Amino acid sequence: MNNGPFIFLGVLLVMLWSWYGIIVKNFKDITALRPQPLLEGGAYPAGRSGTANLGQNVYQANGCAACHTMQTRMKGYGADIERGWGRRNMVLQDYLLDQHVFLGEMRVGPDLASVGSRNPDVHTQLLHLYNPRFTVPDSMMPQFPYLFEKRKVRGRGSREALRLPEKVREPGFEIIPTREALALAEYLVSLRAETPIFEAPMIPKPEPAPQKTNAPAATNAAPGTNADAAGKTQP
Amino acid sequence: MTASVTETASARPSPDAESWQPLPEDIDHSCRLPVMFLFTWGIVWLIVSLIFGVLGSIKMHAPGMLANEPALTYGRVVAVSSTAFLWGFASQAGIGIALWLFARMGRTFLILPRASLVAAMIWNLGVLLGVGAIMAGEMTHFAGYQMPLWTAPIFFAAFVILGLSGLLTFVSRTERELYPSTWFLFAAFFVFPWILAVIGLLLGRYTNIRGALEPIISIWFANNFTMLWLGSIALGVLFYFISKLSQQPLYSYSMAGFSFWFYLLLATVSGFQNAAGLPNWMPSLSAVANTLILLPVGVIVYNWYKTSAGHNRAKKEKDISTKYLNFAAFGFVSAILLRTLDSCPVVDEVVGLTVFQAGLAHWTLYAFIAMAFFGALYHIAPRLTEVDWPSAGAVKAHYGLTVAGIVIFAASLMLGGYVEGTAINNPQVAFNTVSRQTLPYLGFSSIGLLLLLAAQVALLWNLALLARAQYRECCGGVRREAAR
Repeated sequence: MNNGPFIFLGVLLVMLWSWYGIIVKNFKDITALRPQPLLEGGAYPAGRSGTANLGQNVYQANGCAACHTMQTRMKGYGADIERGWGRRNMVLQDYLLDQHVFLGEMRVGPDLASVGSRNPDVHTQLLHLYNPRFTVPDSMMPQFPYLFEKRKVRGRGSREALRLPEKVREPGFEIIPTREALALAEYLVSLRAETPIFEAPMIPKPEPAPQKTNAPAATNAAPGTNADAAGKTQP
Repeated sequence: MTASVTETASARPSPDAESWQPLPEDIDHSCRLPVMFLFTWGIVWLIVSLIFGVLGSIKMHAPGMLANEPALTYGRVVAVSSTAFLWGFASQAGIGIALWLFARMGRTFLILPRASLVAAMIWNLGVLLGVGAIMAGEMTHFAGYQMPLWTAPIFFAAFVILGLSGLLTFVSRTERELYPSTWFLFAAFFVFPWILAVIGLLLGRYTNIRGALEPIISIWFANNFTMLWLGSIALGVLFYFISKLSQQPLYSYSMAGFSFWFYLLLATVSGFQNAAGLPNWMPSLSAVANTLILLPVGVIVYNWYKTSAGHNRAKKEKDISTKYLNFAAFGFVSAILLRTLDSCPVVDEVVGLTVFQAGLAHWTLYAFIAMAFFGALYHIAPRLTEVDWPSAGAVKAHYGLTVAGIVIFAASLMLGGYVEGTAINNPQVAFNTVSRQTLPYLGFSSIGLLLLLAAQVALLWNLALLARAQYRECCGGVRREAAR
């Protein structure tokens, strides 16, 4: 191998294989996807609202993807479904219309693929962004006070002001979310992969009711351990 | 010049004019300006990266600290840390080493040294602008490229000059036989503009890429950036120095050829092992690649082992680089083994999306790539400046602290990832408890980062002393005499 052009050609072929196999192949597959028509009318995904799309930029600019993933794993592989992080695994269809897709690499915080189904209230999301310790007492998440504006109450106060917990409320002041905060909260609420689609069948919600009647003393342990065992033994 | 810097007699030019080759000292002299510039700023960016890393680590324990400062929010701090490492330190040091190796292995002068110096300045400007933009809120979420994509043309322009310098040096070589290191460097210099163009053009604002194609392109980029760009340079360094420092010819060129092609072919598709949101064939392809890669890696290690095993211990050059390169070789093998392990579904199910991934990524970047670059730097810098390392204590401190730091840092993140993954997969454990169980491991990892930071400060200190000693040797003495 003393020949420069030979090495050049070889490396070119290697890169072509990698480029074709990963990028071109996926480009063809993904651009061929279309929103799927649903039986009850409409199509999935329907696309997010304009505010929610703006919220993607706020999510990106503040590096939320450093700690949060958006890829719920399938049932039997980890316990994402059992944890309630989603009702089914994520597939290409879920990401179809998004400008930015934040798969993420690690979960310092919980998976956010369906955070909108868990927590559909914009105000709770805003409160969590302003100070995560208000909603989750020992959260490790940083607070984002710079997405909010603290100002003096005028008149009866703004309708947009955060309803802070009693302990931290400062009389005479109110906390107003900026446009960025509202967009981010709107985006978070819009994250819900719960439409049943062909390639990712929906897992029915577990029904703990019969076990409750059988073993009233160990209500908390019984259904959970079942779910746990199911999650581990399935391939 | 000190004894350890003197070259072997074989490098002397032969008397007949046909096969004239320049002296090693003259080659070194031609590389001095751009390569020393790239090294120095590389180390400065490494320190910046570690300072931000430590800051991020502290914020993990005190989430309210500096919360009012948008530029210092956790997500941006870790993005700055990673950018400063990958683009400020690793790429710059790698380019500097590659230019020197191209010139030395081709037995020729570095072509375009002044233009390369300017290009290196442009590169640093690019990193500076990129880091500033991240802090100002313009970051992207692409793993290897968190700067805004408008910085890509800056790096591309700088690399056109630096790559041309490398390529012209390669073409004008007087030593016709190509050593395996040159193959690896050549591959790195070919791959880099390709992947940079892909991410810059496809994910920039001029195309309408939507959906999962975005993470696919960015994961492909990040993997090729580590394994084929930085990884190839680091392997080139190891191939060169393992043969040079043991003063033995490489055991087998055909083995090296086999491992070269198969390493490239497999490493380039090996980054998708943990992606659960992508089609299943992608993690499977990466798992297959990560398993098959054990074959070329095994051959590489056997080749290295046979090469260095034959050396004559008495003749062996006493060089501080040796222990760095030995550690880098160990880091390479262990990183590949861990990647293989990580792509097994049984393991990935537990540690796949946990802090284990950060531990593995840093192990690859520090134990393999940075250690190989440090080894090369300790060998090259004294030859370029024609002064020996002034402080032996600082060298010792740098090695000890770096090894301790990276082992503590990566091991605690990997263990923490295992603990976290086990807890996440048990739906009985509330997520807050998961975080609380992981937190002590993150604390240990901060200690590792602090040690790494202290080590790099020692290296920069030594480099500053080296520059001062060189200044005294070349210019300071003259000025003093003139003053008299």
